[in-house]
Amino acid sequence: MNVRLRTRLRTPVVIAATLLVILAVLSLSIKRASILKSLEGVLISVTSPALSGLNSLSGSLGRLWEGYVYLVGVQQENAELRRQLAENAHKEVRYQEALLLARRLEALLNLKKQLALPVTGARVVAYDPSQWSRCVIVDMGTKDGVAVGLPVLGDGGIVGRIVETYAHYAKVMLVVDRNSGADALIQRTRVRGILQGKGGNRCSLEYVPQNADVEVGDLVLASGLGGIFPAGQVFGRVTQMNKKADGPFQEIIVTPGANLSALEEVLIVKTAKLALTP
Amino acid sequence: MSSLFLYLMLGLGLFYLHELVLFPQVYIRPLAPLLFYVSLKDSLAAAFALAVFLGLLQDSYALAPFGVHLVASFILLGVARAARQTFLVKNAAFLILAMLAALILQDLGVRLILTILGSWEVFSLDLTWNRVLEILVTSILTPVFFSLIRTLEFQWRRLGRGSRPTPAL
Repeated sequence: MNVRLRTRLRTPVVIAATLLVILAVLSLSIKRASILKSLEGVLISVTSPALSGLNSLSGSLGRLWEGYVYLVGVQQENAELRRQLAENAHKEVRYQEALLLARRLEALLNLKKQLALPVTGARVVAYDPSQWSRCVIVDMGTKDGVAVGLPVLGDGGIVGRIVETYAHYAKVMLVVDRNSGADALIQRTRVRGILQGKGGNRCSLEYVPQNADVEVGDLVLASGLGGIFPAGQVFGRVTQMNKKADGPFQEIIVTPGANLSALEEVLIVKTAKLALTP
Repeated sequence: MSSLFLYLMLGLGLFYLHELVLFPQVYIRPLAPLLFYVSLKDSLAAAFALAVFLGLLQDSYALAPFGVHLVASFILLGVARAARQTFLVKNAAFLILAMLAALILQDLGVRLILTILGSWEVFSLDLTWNRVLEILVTSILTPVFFSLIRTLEFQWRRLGRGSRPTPAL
């Protein structure tokens, strides 16, 4: 093949090969091929430890900056006082951090007592970087007994459920993800509906008849039907509603009880009556 | 090969920066200017390798159908290769416009792919503003990113030259 022909064919060949790769990957993705899950698992397992380490490092550096370096700049005139102050500040930061951690763990422990379910604590190591879906990665996987379908709770209510598991990590689909759906009820009136993720930081309660008694501020709980989320656990509160919507149902917007944009520790409930394939 | 290693490490670093510091408070896509820069300036093979790496990395951490971020990376690469002109690297205004066009095309492309895959419902209205903001901020900051990458590239090359043994006279 001469050089000119090769040059002329190069661009169409590259475009065709790229399209072929894209179609193959998307096709495998739709079929939920195990090779893609393995690839995903390898990438997460390779990159997450560094992310986890950097997370701890940035926390330590932040504490160091706030509790030491800044104070050193303020107390330049007195070296001894500066040393003592920095030392105390460092201790104070550590104390504050321990206090905050204790409060968070206490909240989770209270939740654990209330639940009376076998739960295990996990740390959130990464967030979904895109805006097309809502999920987080936690530092517990199949080696810790985590399985697909298990519900995940946080301080404030239900966070989501496990949809992918790897050896030491698991992917949690948040209740606000578009693909998330669960049977729910209004605590005050026991009106039932399907809680559907709407993306961003909100959900909607679907299929609630126009004449049903629902008000802004009502607490939305898991009904327990479907076998994923434990009955009585909080999904969130009704924050918006429209009874004059077209069609036979109301438009009800629910804001999750847990702050899904600032998750640090979560609880994985280790029993699920029904393990679903995502 | 050496430049590709730098780009891959830079990509990983920017991904970590986005995860640890920027997300979810700052609306920006820090990986897009890097891929755009490499696609404009370097060989197709290097740009292709970086696009595959960044696409797969983002797909692994997301819940959207696997391959969507890969497609997004390829779209950005394609637009950059199609508009491969020297003035884009040198003139900030043209660069911002080119990046803006590339990001808009990327967003439309992803929407088309997700619609084909039956996931059109992900385009909720309340997130559209976030995406617009993300595209605008990323485009405006692209010249800054380019300067940063160029500086790092220069330092990297100097480091490579420095470590090479001096030829015998």
